[in-house]
Amino acid sequence: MNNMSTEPLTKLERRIRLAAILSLIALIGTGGSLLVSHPLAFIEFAVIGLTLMLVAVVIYLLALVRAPRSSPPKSVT
Amino acid sequence: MITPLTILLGIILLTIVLDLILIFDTKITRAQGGKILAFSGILILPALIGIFSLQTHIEDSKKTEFCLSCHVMEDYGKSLHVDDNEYIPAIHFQNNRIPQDQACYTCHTEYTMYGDFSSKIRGLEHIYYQYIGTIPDTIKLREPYNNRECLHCHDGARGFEEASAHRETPLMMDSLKSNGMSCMTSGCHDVAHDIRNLAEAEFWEPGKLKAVPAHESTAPSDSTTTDEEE
Repeated sequence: MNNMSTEPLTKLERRIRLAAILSLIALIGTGGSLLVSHPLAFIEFAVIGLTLMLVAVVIYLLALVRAPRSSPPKSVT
Repeated sequence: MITPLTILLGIILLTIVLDLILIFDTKITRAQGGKILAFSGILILPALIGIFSLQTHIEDSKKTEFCLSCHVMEDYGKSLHVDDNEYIPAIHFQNNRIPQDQACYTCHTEYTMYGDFSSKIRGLEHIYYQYIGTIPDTIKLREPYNNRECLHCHDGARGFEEASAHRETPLMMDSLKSNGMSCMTSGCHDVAHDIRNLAEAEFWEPGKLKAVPAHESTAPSDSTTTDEEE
């Protein structure tokens, strides 16, 4: 466990963190836009919320697709 | 009271917490549970939130309050409160013939297959004009008001079908229903918002009772049957 906490983040984890940050900003923007009934609130949702959410999802999925495959455990005969 | 918006905001809050965990403890994704958390917090929940938020915003854009939030629309909002039966939007608004909270949308959407969508696209153009472009001095409809929007409610209503004014000639009813003769511009129901004359208008104050002439107080209560008395 200690080893795990001191190890640097892998490329996959860095991408997941980036996706999480973008998703967080998108969620805050979306939440804020839902509290106001105004045309600009919709623009805020479309520009900040939807766009960043989409970017976060794309980064996350690309990270999963490009992640190096972990080798299967060798069977002990 | 728990509303759909409250639930949506709750889910957003939950997802924010999941994302914060992922940001500050990214190594959690090395375990099976962490992978599920990342999948939920970055993909599944945001996707659901995006869909439901879009739906909420679309519903919100139908509100009268939403349309009147632009300064240029203020006078049009005031015209809904004019105390004059000649004002078609006002008489519809004040007598609940249209939902008061969706007053603009009810009459200014096209009742066609993609009417809702095209109304929203026009709404986006309005935002452009309001904040980036130039607002024209005179605001006009893009195309003449189509009887279809009136007939969406009035078609088949006794007050409309049997009104003598609508049956002055044998072909008049057909002409109205096919939009050949306009309800609004043929000289019959031609006072719409008329914001130029608002300064001289009297305004209805909800809750403040006003003496109603005897002949009006005996009018039928059904909204559709009183239309032609205006």
